[in-house]
Amino acid sequence: MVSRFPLYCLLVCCVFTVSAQDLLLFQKSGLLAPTRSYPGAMIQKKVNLSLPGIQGLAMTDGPTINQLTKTNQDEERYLALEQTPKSLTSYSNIYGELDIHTVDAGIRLGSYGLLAGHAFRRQGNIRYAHGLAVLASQGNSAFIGQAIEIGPKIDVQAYNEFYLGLQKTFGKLSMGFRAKLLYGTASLYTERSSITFTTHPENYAFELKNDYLVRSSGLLRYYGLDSITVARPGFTFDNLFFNNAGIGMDLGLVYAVNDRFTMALSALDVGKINWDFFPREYKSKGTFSFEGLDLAQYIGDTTSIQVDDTLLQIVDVESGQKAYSTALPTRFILAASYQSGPWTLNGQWCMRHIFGDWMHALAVAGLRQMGPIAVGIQCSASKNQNPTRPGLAGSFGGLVSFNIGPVYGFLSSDGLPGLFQPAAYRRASLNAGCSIQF
Amino acid sequence: MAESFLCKRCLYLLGIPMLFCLSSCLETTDFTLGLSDDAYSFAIPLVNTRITVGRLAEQSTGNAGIRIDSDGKATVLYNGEVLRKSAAAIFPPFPGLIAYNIPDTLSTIQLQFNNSYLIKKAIFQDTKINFYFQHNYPQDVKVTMRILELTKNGKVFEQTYNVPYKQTLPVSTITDPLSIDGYTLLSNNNSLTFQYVATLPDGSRIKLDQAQMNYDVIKFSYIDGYLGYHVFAVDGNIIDVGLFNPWLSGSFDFQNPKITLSVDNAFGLPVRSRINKMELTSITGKQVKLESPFVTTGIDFAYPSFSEQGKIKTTNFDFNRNNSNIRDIFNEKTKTISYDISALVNPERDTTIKGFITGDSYFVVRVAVEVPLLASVNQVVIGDTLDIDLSQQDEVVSAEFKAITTNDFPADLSVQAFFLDDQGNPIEALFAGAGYTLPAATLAANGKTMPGKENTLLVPMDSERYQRIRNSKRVAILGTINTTGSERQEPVWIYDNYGLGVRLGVKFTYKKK
Repeated sequence: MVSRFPLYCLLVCCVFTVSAQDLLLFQKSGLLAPTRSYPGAMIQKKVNLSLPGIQGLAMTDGPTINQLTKTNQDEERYLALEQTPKSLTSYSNIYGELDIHTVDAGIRLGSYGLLAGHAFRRQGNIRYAHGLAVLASQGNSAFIGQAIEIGPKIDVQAYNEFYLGLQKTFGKLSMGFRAKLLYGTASLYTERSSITFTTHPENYAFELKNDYLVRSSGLLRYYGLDSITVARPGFTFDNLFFNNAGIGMDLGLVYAVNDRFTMALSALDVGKINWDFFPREYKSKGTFSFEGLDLAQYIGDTTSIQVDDTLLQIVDVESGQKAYSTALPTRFILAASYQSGPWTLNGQWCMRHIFGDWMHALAVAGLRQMGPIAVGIQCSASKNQNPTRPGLAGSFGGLVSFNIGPVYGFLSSDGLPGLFQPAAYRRASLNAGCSIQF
Repeated sequence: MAESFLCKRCLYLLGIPMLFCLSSCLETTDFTLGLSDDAYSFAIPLVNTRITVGRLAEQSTGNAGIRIDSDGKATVLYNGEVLRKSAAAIFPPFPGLIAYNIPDTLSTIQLQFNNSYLIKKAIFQDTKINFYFQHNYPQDVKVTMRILELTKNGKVFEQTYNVPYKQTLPVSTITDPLSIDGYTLLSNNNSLTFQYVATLPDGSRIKLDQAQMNYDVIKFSYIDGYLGYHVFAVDGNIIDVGLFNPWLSGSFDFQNPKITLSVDNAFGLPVRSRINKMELTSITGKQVKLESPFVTTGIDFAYPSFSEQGKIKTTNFDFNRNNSNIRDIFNEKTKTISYDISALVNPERDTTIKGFITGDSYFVVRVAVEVPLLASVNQVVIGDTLDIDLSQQDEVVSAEFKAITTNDFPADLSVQAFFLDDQGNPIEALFAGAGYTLPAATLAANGKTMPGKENTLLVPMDSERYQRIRNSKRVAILGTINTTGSERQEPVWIYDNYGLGVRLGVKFTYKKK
C-alpha cells in the first residue's frame, strides 16, 4: 500500500511557472553555465571547464500540498480539497525535471568558441483530474449519476545528452549553436488519457468509459491492474549509443546594444527522441461496468468469491509493442540585461513546451556585485496555459555566486520559498554549479 | 458485511491513481498517507444476479441436482451411491496354485474352478502356461504336447519341446512360460485333455516319468456357460434429502415423488434386485417403510442375449405413487431414505440357463430420489440461523441498502431476518413488519407465469440501528412460501426459466477508527 508521499510531492504543489532560474546567470555571460540557456553568450576565457552541476525543478499549476491535503489525528496526510473544483473535468499538472550536468568544456579560439558536454536529463509531468481527487477525498455518493473524468496523464522521459557547440562573434552580435545526440533510458508517454467514471443511480453500478493509451520504454511493465511495475528513471548509461536515439539542437543570439545593455534570444531543446527499445503500448478503450456480483456463478462454490478480482477483471487492457517518439521540452527565451556599476537588472520572457502544453513566464531580476561575490533576487509571473485553471501566479528566487581567480561557483533558485516550505508553495527549484576558466 | 472491505477497495481504486499521480517518479520522504478523520460516503453495487431454475440445474454438483425435461419442467434429484461390478466380480482371476499332473501320454484333467461354474466356452486372456518333463534316458528327448480342447484359428494347441541330456540322470526341464492368449477353450465339464509324444533321437517313443502343466493365472476375455449364483450388496444405503431441512411449518404436497432404480447391464446373465430394506425417515425422526409389491418380488433387470453381445441393456424402475405409498410418506417431510438392496446374479440358480460375460462387461446400479417440482406449498415457513460476527466492521457508520427484485415463481415469497444477541433474543429486524414480500408472478392459462414485476426496496440503517446489528451474534432468517392456489391444493409446475432477480446496492458512510 502506498504509505509515503514523495519529497517532490511536496515540491509539486507549486505554481506552473516555467523555469527562469537561468535569468540571474545571464549577468554572468562569458562563463560556461549561462550558455545552457543562452547558447549565444560567448565564453570569454580560452579554456573553460565545468564541474558536475545540478539543475532541478518541481512545480504545479494545481493546489499546493497544504491545499490538497490535510493532516489527521495520527499525523498522516490525506486528500482533502479545500474547494470543490467548479468542473469535474478540470485537471492540474505536476511537473518536475532534474538535469545532472556531468561535464561541460569550452575553448575560445579568437572569435570562435567550441563547446562540448554531457548531461543526464529527466523530465516528468503528471496531469491528474480533479474529479479523481474529489472522489478520493469524499467518496462517490455525492456524485451518483454524474460522469467524472479521472484518467491521469503521466509523461516521463530520461535520457543522456551529448552535445557539440559552436559560438561565433560578429562585432556586437554573437551566435551559438549546439547539436545534441540523445539516447533515451526510460520513457512513459500517455497518448490518450480519458477515463470517465460514473456511478449509476439504479443500484450504484460502476461504469468506466476508457480511451487510454500509454506507451513506455524501460519504465512501465503492466501485468494486470493490480500488478504494475514502474522503474525509477535514475541516472544510467543504459542503451548508450545503441537504443532510443534522438537528436536536438539549441540556438542562441546575444546582441550587445551598448556597454550596458544586452539582449538575448534562445531556442532550446528543439528535437525529439525515437523510442524503439521494447516500446510497449497498453491500451484500454471501451465501456466497462461492474454491476455487482452474479451470485449464480458461485452456486456451490462460495469459497471462491473474490470481489477484488471481479472488479479488476472488468477492465480490458490490450498490450502490444510499437515504436514512438516524444518531443523535447522546448524553450524559447527572450532576455535583456542592463548593467549600471555594481548593479545589474535582467528581464526575461520564456515560453516552454511541456508534454503538450505551452507555458509562459515573465521574470525580472536584480544583482549586486560585491567584490568576488554577487547576490541577486528575482521575481517571476507566469500565465497558465491550462485552460481549466487560467490565471497568473508568481514566484520568488535568488542567486549567490563567487568568482575567485579562475574558479566560479553559483547557487540559484527561482522558487526559493518552496525549498523551505514545500507543502505551502507551488514551485521549488535549485540550480548549482562550479566551473574553472583561464 | 462487505461494506468495509468494499470501502477500502473503493478507496484503493480511487485513491491509488490519485496518489500515484502525486508520488510516481519522486523521491521518498517521511510523509505518511492516511485517511481523513471525517467520514467518506460511498455507493457501490453489491449484487446483480438472476438465479433461475435452469442455471441452478446447470451448476448443481454433488449428489443433489435438478433435471430439466424437454418441456422445461424441473425435477429435483438426490442420487445415492452407485454400484458397479465388472466381469472380475463374476469370474475373478483364477491363480495357479498347484501343478496339474499329466500321468500318461493321453490324460484328461479337471480344472479346479469353483464348482458353481460350468464353462462351455472361454477365450483366454493374459494367461501363460509352462510344462515340467522328467525321464531317465541318457539321451535327448523331443516332446510334442497337444491340448485337445484348446484351439486357435481352427488349430489345436501343439508345442514341441526339447529335453536335453546333461550327463546326469534323471533328465528334467522346465519350459519357458507360453502365452495362450486368444486360445478358445471348448469343454462340457471344465476339463482339459493333454496328449504328448516323447521320442528319442532314434525315433523310438517313450513315456515320460513325470509331466506337469503349470499356469500363472487364468483369465478369460469371454466366458459362456453357467457362471454361478452371486449376490452383490448395493453400496451406500442412505440418501440425504435436504428438501425439507429448513421447514418450520406449513404443508407440502409433491404430486409424484419417486425412488428410482436404474441398471445398466452388459452381462449376458439374469440379474434381479432384492429389496432388503427401503425406509423413509422424516425430519421429525419418524420412520416409515416403503410398501410395494416389488419390495417383495424384486425387480428383474434386462440383460443382453447372445446375439446382443457388447450391448448394454438399461432398466429403469420407479417406486411411485401408483405402485407404492411413497407420495404419502414422502410429503411427511422426508429427511433421509435408507435402503438395503442386493443384486442377484442367476437368481434362480438354474444351471441350464446359459449366460456369458466378456472381459469388459459390467453392470451399474443407481438408486435415486426424484421429486418432480409439481406441488402445492401452503404457507410453508422455512428458516435457518447463522452465526455472524460484525464486530470488526466498526468503520462503517451507517448504510442504506437498495434492492430491486423480481420473482417469476407462482408463489408469494416473503423473507425476514432477525438479528439475535448472544442470549438468542431478537434485537433488530432487517425489514419492517412481517418482512419483505416478493409477490407471485401471474399464472397464465398455459400454467406458466408471466415475467415477474420489478419491486424496489430501500433498507435504511442509521448508525444506531447499525450498531445494534453489529452487536448481534446470530441472525435468524425466515422465509415463507405460498404457491398460487395452494389453499385449494392446486399444484403448479416449476419451469426452468423461473427465477429470482436481485440487484442490490448500498450507500454507506465510512469513517476510520
